[in-house]
Amino acid sequence: MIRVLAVLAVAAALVAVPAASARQAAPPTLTPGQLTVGLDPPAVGFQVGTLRGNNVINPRGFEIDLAKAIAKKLGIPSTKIKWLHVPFATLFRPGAKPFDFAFEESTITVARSRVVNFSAPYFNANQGVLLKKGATAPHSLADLKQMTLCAQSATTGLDYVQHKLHASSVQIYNSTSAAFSALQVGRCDAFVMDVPIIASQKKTKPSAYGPVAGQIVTNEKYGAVLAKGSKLTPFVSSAIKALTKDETIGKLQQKWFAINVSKIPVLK
Amino acid sequence: MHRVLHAFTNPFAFRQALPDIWSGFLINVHMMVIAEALVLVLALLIAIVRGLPGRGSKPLRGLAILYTDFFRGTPLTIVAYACILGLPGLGYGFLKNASSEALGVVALTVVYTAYVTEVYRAGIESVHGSQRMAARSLGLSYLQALRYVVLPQAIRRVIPPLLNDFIGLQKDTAIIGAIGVTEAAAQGTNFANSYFNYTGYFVGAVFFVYLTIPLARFTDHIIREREQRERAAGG
Amino acid sequence: MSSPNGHFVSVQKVTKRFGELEVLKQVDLDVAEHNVVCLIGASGSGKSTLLRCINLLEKVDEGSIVVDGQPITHGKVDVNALRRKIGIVFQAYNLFPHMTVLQNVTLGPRKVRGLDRAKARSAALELLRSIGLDDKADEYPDRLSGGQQQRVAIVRALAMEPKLLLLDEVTSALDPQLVAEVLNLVRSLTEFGMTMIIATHEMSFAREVSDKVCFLDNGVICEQGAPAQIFSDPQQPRTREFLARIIEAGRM
Repeated sequence: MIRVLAVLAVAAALVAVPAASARQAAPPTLTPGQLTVGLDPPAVGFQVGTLRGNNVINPRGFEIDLAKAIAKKLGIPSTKIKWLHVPFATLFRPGAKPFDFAFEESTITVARSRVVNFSAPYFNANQGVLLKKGATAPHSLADLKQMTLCAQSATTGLDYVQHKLHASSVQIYNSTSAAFSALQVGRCDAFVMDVPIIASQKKTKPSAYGPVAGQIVTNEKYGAVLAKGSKLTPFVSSAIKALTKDETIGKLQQKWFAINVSKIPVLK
Repeated sequence: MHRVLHAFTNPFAFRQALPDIWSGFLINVHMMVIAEALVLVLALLIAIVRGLPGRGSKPLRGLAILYTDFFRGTPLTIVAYACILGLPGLGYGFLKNASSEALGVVALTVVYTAYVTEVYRAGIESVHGSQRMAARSLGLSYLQALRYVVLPQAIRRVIPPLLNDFIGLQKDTAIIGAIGVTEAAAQGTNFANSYFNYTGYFVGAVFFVYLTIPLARFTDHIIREREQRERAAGG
Repeated sequence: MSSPNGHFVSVQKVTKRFGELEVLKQVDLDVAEHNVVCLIGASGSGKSTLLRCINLLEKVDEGSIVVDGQPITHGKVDVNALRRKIGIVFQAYNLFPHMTVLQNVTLGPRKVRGLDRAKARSAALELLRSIGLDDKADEYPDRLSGGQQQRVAIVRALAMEPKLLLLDEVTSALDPQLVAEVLNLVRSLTEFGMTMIIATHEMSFAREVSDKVCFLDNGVICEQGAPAQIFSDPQQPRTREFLARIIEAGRM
């Protein structure tokens, strides 16, 4: 009896091992054995780092930790990750990409999905409204519509204020930092941008801005951006799903964003 | 090739982008007209200061040189960011309330005045010394001689390089689009980001070229006219 | 009014350098009122420089100049006021090409002497009529011949009613057939009694109109005296050499 069980055990093991290694076939990255991740710092909480030429040195943040966790699931050590600077404005241009995937707080939209692939979502966000110092707080979307708003080029925040809110006075800036500077200096009354980004920025530099006036429910979800048709997409998506299920992502969010988003009033 | 044409010159996208690009373009025109007027006057003043004789005006001349060297050497983008995002933070009420478009005009004016000052100076120096001598010999003061005799001739001579610099200024208004002023190029980018088609840029280019061509032909006309006058006088 | 020694212009021991080069060396020259003094000499001998020192277009390095009883090389000098009293006409590039003939002539009277537009205009037309160029009043200088331009230039200087007229080789750049008309005008001015210092290559003319002729050689007044004496009986060897070369070239 024991001998039969032993043979069965060995047989099972022999079957299991190849199956396991089949699941761990090398993921189709640009450079085998290396992961190239696109970033566009700074976004407080999500990613900060030093720009040096085309690369990002010393990256730190939620998305960096998440990228390393995904790399581990793909069987690539974190020392073999190359961090590339990819300006946000270039992310959704059709064509080949110089990265395997990019983490840039990118909202998954239908229009964007036509030109790039998205992974499974890793973050939920709404749009938020950050006021300049001394601005009158809006109590409704109708109030918000009358204010002078800053937004960043190519973002869902800009898309919202232009095509859904139909605000009359919108200033467009080419980078997040330029928009934050503009708000600080009073060029506009409010900056409409993803809640986690503005909430984190306000937490870092509380005296530079007015309060976070509210959030606008847009139910956006962030996904990693990959080239259209990238064969790496299922690998990244299943890694993210696994990390969501085992609470890794939840713990990272707690670590990097000690912000209770539910406390921010919703503007209607 | 078809894909490129479709991406840049799609007729449907052309009509769709037209109104926004046009409204942006009006901002470019507004900025360039004001900047050009300011530059013409300020650059002349600085060119005159540069040429003032005498030991007493040495510090003024030094300041003028410092100004032209600095602003000819600094990229317009940097000056624009400093003006639009930097100046309002200095705390002065009028700066805080100034529109980004106005501050953009400041940046354009400050940079292009430096270039045009040198153009005027070249013109002034090209007027034969005997003209100044003849004017002074009549008893005209330094500034009177400058005003009635030297400058009219100097300015006439440098109209082509002046117009050239203004064509440059007209296009450089697009740089202000990165910093919150939604002029034609920024509208083009917005269109591209919304619809993934670059025809908006083509529309903007058409407007700019329409503006520049008459100016370029006018410059040619002035050059031709002067050549004819010189040929007739020489004989 | 004249200087202590009674002359209208008194140049004393004037030295002028351009860098290392000494262009005028200890030059002495006296010009009495209503007199005509001609400066002759080779190009580069310092004739033009001397004239320009007298109306302060050039600053002297050493020596002194007194004009109309007023020292102009030391102390505070109102340069513009001095230049109102002295008219100068150059060899070329005299007229302002961007103004009409009339505007050229009225510029000084209007902006410096303060005459109103109408008075300046009628005075200018009068002057232009006297040289037969009033029909060219509204033309631009590039439509006039060289001789006409120089005559307008002289008249422009006269419009300021100067007490002294300096002529710096005003015919040297002209076509030969245009020289005569200019010389005729200058001659009439000498007959009128205008105090003049004339730098010229026109030896016959110099001989005819001047009260005194000065020969400049390398920045020094080599010889000066009455025209009859200088031209017929030069004392200095350099003067003789110079005049011999002029005669040889058929220019006298």
